[in-house]
Amino acid sequence: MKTSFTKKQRYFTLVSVVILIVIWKLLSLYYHSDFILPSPEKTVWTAINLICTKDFLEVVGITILRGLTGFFIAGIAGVALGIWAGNKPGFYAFISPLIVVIRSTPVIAITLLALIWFTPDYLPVFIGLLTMFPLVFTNVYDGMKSIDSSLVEMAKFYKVSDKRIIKEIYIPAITPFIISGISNAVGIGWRAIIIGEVLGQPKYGIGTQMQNAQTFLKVDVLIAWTFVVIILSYLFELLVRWVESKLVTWKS
Amino acid sequence: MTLLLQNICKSFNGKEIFKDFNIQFTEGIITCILGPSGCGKTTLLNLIGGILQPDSGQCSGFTDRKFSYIFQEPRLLPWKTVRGNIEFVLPEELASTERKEKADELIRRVNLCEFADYYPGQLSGGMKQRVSIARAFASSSDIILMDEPLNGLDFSLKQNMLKWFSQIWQADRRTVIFVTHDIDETLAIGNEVYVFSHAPVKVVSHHVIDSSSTSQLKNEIMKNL
Repeated sequence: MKTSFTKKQRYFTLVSVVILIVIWKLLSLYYHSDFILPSPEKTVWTAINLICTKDFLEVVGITILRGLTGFFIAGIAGVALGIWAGNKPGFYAFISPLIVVIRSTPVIAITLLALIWFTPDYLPVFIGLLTMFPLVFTNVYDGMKSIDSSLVEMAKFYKVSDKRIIKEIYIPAITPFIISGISNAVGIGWRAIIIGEVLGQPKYGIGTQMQNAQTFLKVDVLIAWTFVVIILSYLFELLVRWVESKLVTWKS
Repeated sequence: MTLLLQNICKSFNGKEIFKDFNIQFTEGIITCILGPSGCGKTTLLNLIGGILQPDSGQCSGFTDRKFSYIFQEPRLLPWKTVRGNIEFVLPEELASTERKEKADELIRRVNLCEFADYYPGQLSGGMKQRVSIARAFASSSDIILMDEPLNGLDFSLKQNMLKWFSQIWQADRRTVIFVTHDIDETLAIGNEVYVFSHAPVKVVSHHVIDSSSTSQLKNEIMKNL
């Protein structure tokens, strides 16, 4: 989703954020308990303290590393198999049951199985991988189906080599689809990886920290970590959009 | 060398398009093929270009020839600029400066210099078709095959396009085989014309176009169509 806000729209966005914070503040005053809902300012203070702890970078870094590992495996497999399936209807027929099964299995079912199969460090990677792969695959496959066959025919008429047809027709045509697949996958993949960390309890990880905070009723810490996840997810979304603007210049 | 199709037979799903069909093309001129739609004109271009093989018969003079095409739609790559689209059909062996030079020369000839770095999405329909004409002439082909490239363009744009085409062709004089169902296009740029019948295709008549007697020729062709 591409959003570029006008000045007026920005104003409304700001108003919306302010209203949410005010509601939060009012609710925290009503409950008047840090164990139920700490105030926004206390949460912000906790978040700042959290960022200043010496473990912070390690915890966040390891979660990002897990995310990237799952994401790269899912990305490479999704792109390669998506292109292959788009080219060979037989292979698509062969792989679609697998994709349907992975896509329809609830994340929690995969997690429970993975708890048995994997050590806590690899479990989030596996879950992230399984949630991201079908998204990338499906997008790339759709991209392959969308390729204008009359362009390929034109290239063949002009005796352009197969290598250049792949490089200069197929790849540019599916790039927007790859990026939108990756963008969806990153959004959903993050959540899956945090769930994996909460349930798998590896030594380091944002999910582990969230689970600990919940156990000791440190609600402010739990919310502060949640914000960290939201910001990370947003930064990755921006990164994907930036890459898109560099690669797909012709669409604007 | 003469370009010859002899005793060509070709059918699709049991429908005979060509049966013992013969035709001859002169090199260095624009030969138009005029006929009702669906009579097999596109099939003829595909046979000439080697995209389709005849069921029997032979095409002589076409082997080892290079072709370029102007299609009904411009068929430009949306992710390449005007220059990139023209460079796309140039031989890989050419150095990048040579490719650019060659592309720019043709861009100049279709008067699109200011638009060389534009993407097709930013151009009008007529400009896109001009790029496709430039691409056909940029390619180092021996024969240009045109498949109703002016279809769907309005009258003034069509006149404009014919003007661009003749202008570039005058400087180049490559063999052109131009398929159309429009008599006026034929008379405007053709040197010779074959009039085709419905499938199975027969050559109904063959005329040399002489600019002094086009209205008389037009009547004659109308009778045969």
